Amino acid sequence: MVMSGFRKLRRGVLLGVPLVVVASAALTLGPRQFGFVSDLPEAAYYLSFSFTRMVVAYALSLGFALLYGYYAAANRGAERVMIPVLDILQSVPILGFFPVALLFFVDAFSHTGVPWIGTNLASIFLIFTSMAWNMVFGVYESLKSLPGDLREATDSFGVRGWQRVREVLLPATVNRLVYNSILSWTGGWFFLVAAEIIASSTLPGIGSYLSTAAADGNGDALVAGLVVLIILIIILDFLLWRPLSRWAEKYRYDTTPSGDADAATTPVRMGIAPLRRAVAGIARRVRTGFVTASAPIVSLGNYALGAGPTRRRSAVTTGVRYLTLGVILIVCWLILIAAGVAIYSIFIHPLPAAAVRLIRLLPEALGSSIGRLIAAYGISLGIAFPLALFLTRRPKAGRVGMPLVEIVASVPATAVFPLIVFALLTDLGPQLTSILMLMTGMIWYLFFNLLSGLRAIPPDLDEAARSYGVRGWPYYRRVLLPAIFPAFITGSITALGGGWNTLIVAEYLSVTAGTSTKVIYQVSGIGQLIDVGFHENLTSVYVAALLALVAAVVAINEVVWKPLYRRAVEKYRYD
Amino acid sequence: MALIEVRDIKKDYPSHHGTISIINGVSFDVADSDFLAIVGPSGCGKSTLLRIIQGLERATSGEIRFRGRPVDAVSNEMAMVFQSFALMPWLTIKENVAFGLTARGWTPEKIAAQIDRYISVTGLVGFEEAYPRELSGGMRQRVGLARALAVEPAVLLMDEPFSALDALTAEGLREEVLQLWRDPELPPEAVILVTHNIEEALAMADRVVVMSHRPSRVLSVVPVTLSRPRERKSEAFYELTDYLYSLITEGSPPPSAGAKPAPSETLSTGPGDTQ
Amino acid sequence: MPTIFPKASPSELQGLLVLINEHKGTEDVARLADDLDLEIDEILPSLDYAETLGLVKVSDGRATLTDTGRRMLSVSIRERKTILRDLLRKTTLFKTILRALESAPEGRLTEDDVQRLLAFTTAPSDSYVLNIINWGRYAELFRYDSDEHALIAIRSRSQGRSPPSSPPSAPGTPGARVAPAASGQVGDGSGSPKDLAYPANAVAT
Repeated sequence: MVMSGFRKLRRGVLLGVPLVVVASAALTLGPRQFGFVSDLPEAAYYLSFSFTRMVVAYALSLGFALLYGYYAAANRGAERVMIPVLDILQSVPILGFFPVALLFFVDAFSHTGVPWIGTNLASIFLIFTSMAWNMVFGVYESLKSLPGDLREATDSFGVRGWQRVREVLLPATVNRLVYNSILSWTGGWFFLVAAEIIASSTLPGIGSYLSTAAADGNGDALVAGLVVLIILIIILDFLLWRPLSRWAEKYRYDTTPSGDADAATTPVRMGIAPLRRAVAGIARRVRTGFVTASAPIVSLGNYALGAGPTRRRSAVTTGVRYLTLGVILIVCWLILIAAGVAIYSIFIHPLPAAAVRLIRLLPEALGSSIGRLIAAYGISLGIAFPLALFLTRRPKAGRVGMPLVEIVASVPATAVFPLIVFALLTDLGPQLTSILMLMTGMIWYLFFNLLSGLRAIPPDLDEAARSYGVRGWPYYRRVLLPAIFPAFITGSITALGGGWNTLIVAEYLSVTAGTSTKVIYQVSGIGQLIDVGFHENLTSVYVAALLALVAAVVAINEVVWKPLYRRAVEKYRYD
Repeated sequence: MALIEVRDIKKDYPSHHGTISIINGVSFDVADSDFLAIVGPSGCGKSTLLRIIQGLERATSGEIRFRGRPVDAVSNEMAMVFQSFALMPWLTIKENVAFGLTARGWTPEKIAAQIDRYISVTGLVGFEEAYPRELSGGMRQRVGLARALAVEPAVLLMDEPFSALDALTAEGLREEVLQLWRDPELPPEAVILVTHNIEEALAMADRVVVMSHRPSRVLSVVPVTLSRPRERKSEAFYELTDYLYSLITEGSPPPSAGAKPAPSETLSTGPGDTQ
Repeated sequence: MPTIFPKASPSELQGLLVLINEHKGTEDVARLADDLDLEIDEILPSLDYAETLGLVKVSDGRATLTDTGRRMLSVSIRERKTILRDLLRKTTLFKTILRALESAPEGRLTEDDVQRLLAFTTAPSDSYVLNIINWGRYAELFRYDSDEHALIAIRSRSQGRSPPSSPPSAPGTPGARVAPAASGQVGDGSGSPKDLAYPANAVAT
């Protein structure tokens, strides 16, 4: 019923194992045994900067989420504006906007004599934008789904003011807020490290420490940086997130009141891995987000194509409809880009030749980025699916493997980039390295969604298959794959979302020392153009590439994922 | 003067096809020490009516008066027991019982005393520090009851309080509610019980307000003068049950009964008639 | 012989007593179930445990309230808990638990201890264990810490003759203040219009 002391211990041991594995891997990777140890203090010193940024950004996000979420949930008029705005904000690849934020904040604080405030604020702003939306939705949705009877009881007993906040509203948000915080925190690391890599020496932190180490070919420092980061993440997981999520269980409310005696005797589930819950959270978010966000677009599409909203359409017409819509959207974006560039060139100054050359490369760059994404996605799927299947079908392997996977997955992909560059660039070449990096940014979304999909297959479906002797390929084709299809789509959407963000750090890696920028490696792509535009002060290139990126993300979402998602929801759910 | 006067309450809801009338002119009185049940077919708005009485919902027209004064905000002279218990899952039993007390502005000593008293009379001692999810449905509803009684309301409002419970538990809890109601030391002055269960109404109430299908109005107010404890197996009980059933299904009093309900004369003679 | 443990909740057991009482204290089990539109196996768990506790006698498919069963219905909710406590103390199940609690360090039994302790009952699943714990809590035989999943002995109470109500943790004993009204309340003519009510159980008085 509840985890016994022994089981707790065993779990602890299981989670300790990966630590040992990681540590010994680090030892063998380091050129000299234990050579990295002497670098640990310095790495920890840099990590403390990063950690401080995370804490500040988290505190800001928490306050923002509570206020924004509460206001959106309490005020119907505000809700109608606030929620769609949030939906747009969270679908944008935020890393692309980091350079804008950097320029803005650095400029704003350049006169104060303390320029580091600007870079730090920019990075905190970036982490904030990666953390906040998801937490706002946590607050908003838990307040919206607060059972009506609890609301009524609160009114009925005249509970108002501070007591209402303390005993009803805050507790109602705790459960979702904790799980979404874990998710936000994990995402936050990804963006923070990325920001530190992009801003390099102007933003001292674990990201710049790692990328500098990679640029200098300093393997010891690289390992030391990763070791301190992983240790911090594990410590936080054990001392903060796990206890927090256990505590948050208390704040769950059932939406369906159960009056039978059994309800009371259902044991409280303990020790749910926070990350898995967090991924389930993303899935839910994607689902609701898509339904709300696509509503106006779908009605626009209906209007454009003269189709009645209730008429049944074949997959082909649906496809055509979305394709048309996608094309319209892309054209709109291209016009916007052209207009932007035109305005820029008219009002500021003519485009430098270098910029013109780079902007001409835009379609090609977009193409190769998409190609890279597809390759990374395919390989990720090829690894994630068998792995998820193995861990769910072999309970014993799952018990050992899951904690391991969870630890590995909790390491921010961006932190591994310098290591990948350092260890594998010469062997793999830039193209494969970049694809490998994209994979690290995508694979876990796929894995955890597939895992939850596999776990959610009703046992009676499996039993039916067994009783009718459906095995082998027919089993996969007719039972397993359809059953996990919605989870697969959600996983793909989130993985691609992660991939678009990863592009910006996976196609270009440079270190700035003083005024000179040393490019460690680059491959042609949209992410590279954004970085080059930023680093070489070619604002027009940066703007054009960013707009093209956003256009591509939105268009692909509209043309590919939304129709697939609708289909998945309509056809393959089992409830 | 009646404790509560319900005067010509109407309630409309907006819908896709204009407005839907849920309650169409309902009036009745609740006297001091009245145990009143409201029965009617499902969807007749009896739960809505209960919420209007406390001021949780607004009527489209009509008026509720409590001791002669109109109820135009949530009345803290009344307390509600909910069908789904509506306990805060994150508060302990003790904190749940205290839920309505903090809002009354009583002294901490008074609040502590109230909590202890009502936890005790409802048989919840031993569960003070428990959370609702640890409790069975029956125990949870006792917490709902303790929470309502603890604010010492003049009127206890009960919205289908037993219908989320299994049959045996409901049977036991009804008896407990009656035991608490009998205790002169305990609040409330009056009880209004909303239920779809006619036998339950007849087993518990002094008077039964019978409501019609939507848009609902009062078909009849039937005094129940059967002696207590009510014997559900008695001939008189059956007769009264049948009478109410026919009232509800036919939508009007059977011709033999006339406008004023006849059973009060033919049926038993308990001393409990407060009419 | 396996130790008998409750499969129904205290609320259900009490509902059963009320139900039998409505049938004048004795009734065919099938009829009882029928009265509440239940299947027979839905009232059997309560019936079994009521019989174990000596509140009901079952013979030839007929359930009859015992004197203790009648007494239970005639008293206040609080006093019912006292009666129940005395009855539960006599069962092998609770005797075993209480003895283990007495000898346990600091008067605490962990979840594991309880599981082990109850292992001799016929395969109690988790939900049954929780139900047993809730019986003990309801009858105030022990306290329970749901965070630590531990049973805690109620120490300050002397064995056997103990006053009803609050465990030591509760400040002030409300029992004493309200208790006088408990059994004498019915029909004591205190002037309130509410005492139009009848004794809870005429049979018992």
